[in-house]
Parts: sequence; C-alpha cells; structure tokens
Amino acid sequence: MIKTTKQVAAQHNLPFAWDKFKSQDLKATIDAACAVQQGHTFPPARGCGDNLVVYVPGGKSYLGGPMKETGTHIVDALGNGSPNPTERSAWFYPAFSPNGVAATSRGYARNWYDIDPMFKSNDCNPRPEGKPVCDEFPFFSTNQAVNLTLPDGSLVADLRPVPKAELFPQFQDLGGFYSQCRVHEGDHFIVLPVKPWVEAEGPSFAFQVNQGGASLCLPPRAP
Amino acid sequence: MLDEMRVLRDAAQGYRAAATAAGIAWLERADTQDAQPPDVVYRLFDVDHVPEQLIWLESQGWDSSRLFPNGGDLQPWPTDDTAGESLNMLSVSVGTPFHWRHQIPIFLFGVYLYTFVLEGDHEGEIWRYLISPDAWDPVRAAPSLAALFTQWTGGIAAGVVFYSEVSRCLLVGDPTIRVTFDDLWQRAPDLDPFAFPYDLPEPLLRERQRECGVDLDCIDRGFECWEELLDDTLAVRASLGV
Repeated sequence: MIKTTKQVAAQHNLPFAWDKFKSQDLKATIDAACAVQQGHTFPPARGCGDNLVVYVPGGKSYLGGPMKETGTHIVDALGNGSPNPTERSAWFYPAFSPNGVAATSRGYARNWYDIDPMFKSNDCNPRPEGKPVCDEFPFFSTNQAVNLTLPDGSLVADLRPVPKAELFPQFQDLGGFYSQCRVHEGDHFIVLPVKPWVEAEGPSFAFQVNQGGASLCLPPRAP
Repeated sequence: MLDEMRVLRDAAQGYRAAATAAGIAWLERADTQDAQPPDVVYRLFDVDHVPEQLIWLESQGWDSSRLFPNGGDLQPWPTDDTAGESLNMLSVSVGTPFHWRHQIPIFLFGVYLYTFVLEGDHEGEIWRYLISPDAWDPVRAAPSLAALFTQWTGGIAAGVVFYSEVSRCLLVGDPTIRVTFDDLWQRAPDLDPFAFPYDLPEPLLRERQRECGVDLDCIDRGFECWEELLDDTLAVRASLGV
C-alpha cells in the first residue's frame, strides 16, 4: 500500500509523503477493515484473509477525472478509518451486487433519495447550487445499498451532494474496479479510506492480496 | 426525427406551462443565449451541421436550474473547459445503432443521461442511458424533442410527475407511497415510460432495445464492450486535446 502510493505519487508528481502519523493511521484503518473482513466489529488486528481485493478511492479517478468530494465523502462516511456509529464498520467490506439488484429487488429506485417517501428528508434534499449530484455510500451496486446493511433497515447509506463534474469519473472508477479486478456477483471487497491520499488528489487504485503477495489490479492511468 | 419548429415550440411551451402550474419557478432570463453552437460542438461530436431544433432549445436559457422531471437540467453547449466532460458523458453509450460521437448530452437527471442524436438515420431522436458502474441500458427515450416534452406534459397531467416541496423539483413517482413500475404506469396507460428518467424492468427494456436497433451482443458482453468504448472516448479526448 505504502509502496504503491509512493510510486503513484512520484509518477503523478503529487505532494504526498508518508510520515509517522499517517502511517499509524493507515495501519489502524487496515486493522479495522481486516477485523470486519474476519467477521469482527472491532480491532485488535487479526490480519486479513487471503484472496482479498482492496479498493482505495482517491481524489481523482483512476483515469484522472475529478472526484475529490466523492473521495472525501467515502472517507468521511467511514469515519476516516474509525466508523461512527460502529455499525458503519460493515461498510469497510461490502459485496458486489451487479446492476444494484440487491436494492432494486427490494423495490428501491436508483434515485431512492429523491423519490422514496420513506427517505424524503436527507442530506441531498434539496441540493445546493453547483452540487446537483447525490453521492451515496455504500455504493448502490452493493449488498449495503440504501438501508440494506442491517437486517432491520436502521442503517441508511450516507448521502452528500457533489459537483456534476464528479458524476462520470466516480462511475468509471467503480466500473473499472469491478471489471479490472474481476469482482463478481457476491464477491466481497474492502474499501480502504485514506484521507491524506484523497486530500493530495491521488488517483484511485485497487490491489489484490493473495499468498503470493499484493498486486495492482486497478492501476491509475499515467497522466 | 426532426420536429417542425412550430410543433417543437408548442410542445415546449406546453411543458413549461404544466411545470409552472405544478410549482416550478421557471424564470425568464434577462440575458439571451448565443443562438449558434460554438465551434467546439462540431469538433467534439464530429458533425458539420447542428439541427435548428437543438439550436433553438439551447438558446432558451433553460440551463440554469432543475426544470425537468427528477430534477433534470438542460446541459448548456460544451465549452473548451467542459469539452472533456461532455465526451466523458458519452462513455455510457454502449451498443447504440449510431456512432457514439454523433450525439450531444442534453438532459442530466442524476442517474440518467439523455442525448440528442445529431445526424444519420436517428437524427433528432432522444436517447437515454443509465449512469452506473456496471449497467448502461441504452435505449431511445423519444423519437423527437417535441415528443419528449409532450410525454412530460402528459406525466404532470396524469399525476405520475409531481412537484416536491422538499426537493424543490418535479419528481416521477408517487409523493406518498413507494410504487412499483406497474402500479405507477397503470395510472397513465397512454404515456410511454421510456420518456421519463425512471427505472425500467429488464424484459420491457430489452424488447424496446431490440426495436431500436441496440447491439444486444454488446450489452451482453458488459464490461468488455464498455471498456472498448471507454478507450475510444479517451483516445478521442487525447486526439482533440480535451
């Protein structure tokens, strides 16, 4: 993770460097995410299992499109690695639901935050000037869309208005991730929030971890 | 199909009157828009003419707020600054029966993009695309701009499009309860749901895609087909420097 960001930062000429505090934060976030992946809500670290896919959202898409507010939203929704409330820690580890079928099969529309009377009052209504797009996290294309995270429906996806310019980059980012990292229906993956990476407008990337080590499956395109 | 200008003006005026009556604050703009498309339009979309119907629509100054169903807004002419974004939007147009560049984004509805086809057999048609990481659902929304406005006007009249005080825009659906596709459109049997930025059931979508000449093999290939188009759009952006 650190090696990859160093390489990408050098390639993209980004003002980004790891220091002791950032490294400690990253370790804590990875521990928290791995704990969830191993079926626990909290650290201590138990290590992540094998055959993992990890998506690291950036302040730009892997193609270089703008998505700083979207990336920031993901980081914030995950409490910058310390989700609050703790039930949100499940959001570290969603599963892919192609075409959002987990939500649509339960009757939720793609623009549920606008038209579903059950969720009428939310952070996207109304949108402020210049931010017409409603960004949702967890992603609609997962088993945690809308309010599906908990069986009782009490944990609703976090919403935030973002600029129009981020709409297509964020979908290209996620589509590229599912496609290039070979994420199939029902496959779980880790979403790793790295605040300083988003702040530095580093591009999104993703990697696979298996017994042979880690390898980039969604490399950022060269600038 | 390209509308007669009189038909288009009447249809747009009809929609405006219905939307205003429903609650939309549709203000007259003091300044007038430049009627002619900027040069970048011809370069981006690889065409040597732009239909007057589109020029008329873009000259109305209706791009400043969310005047259309589901908070949709009219996309202004691309500029040098937004040229890349305009082409980027077209990366969702997989499997169309016309070249992906020969269309211009005109309405954005959050999770749906509508485009106006600029030339060829489909000139003047309005096409719709889902904006999603893994499904794109290209299909014709309406045979022309006037037909689109007429459908939207009918939607307001039938009560399937309503004004939301919370969202401060027109929404497609029911203000009080969550409704299924069938429940909603049974209330408006004379309307075509494809004209509205609303989720469509797959069997119905596939049937219409077949009728419209969508390359269903491409749709079935999914990511592979999308990535080919994405690479094409990136290559064109690079060649145009946008």
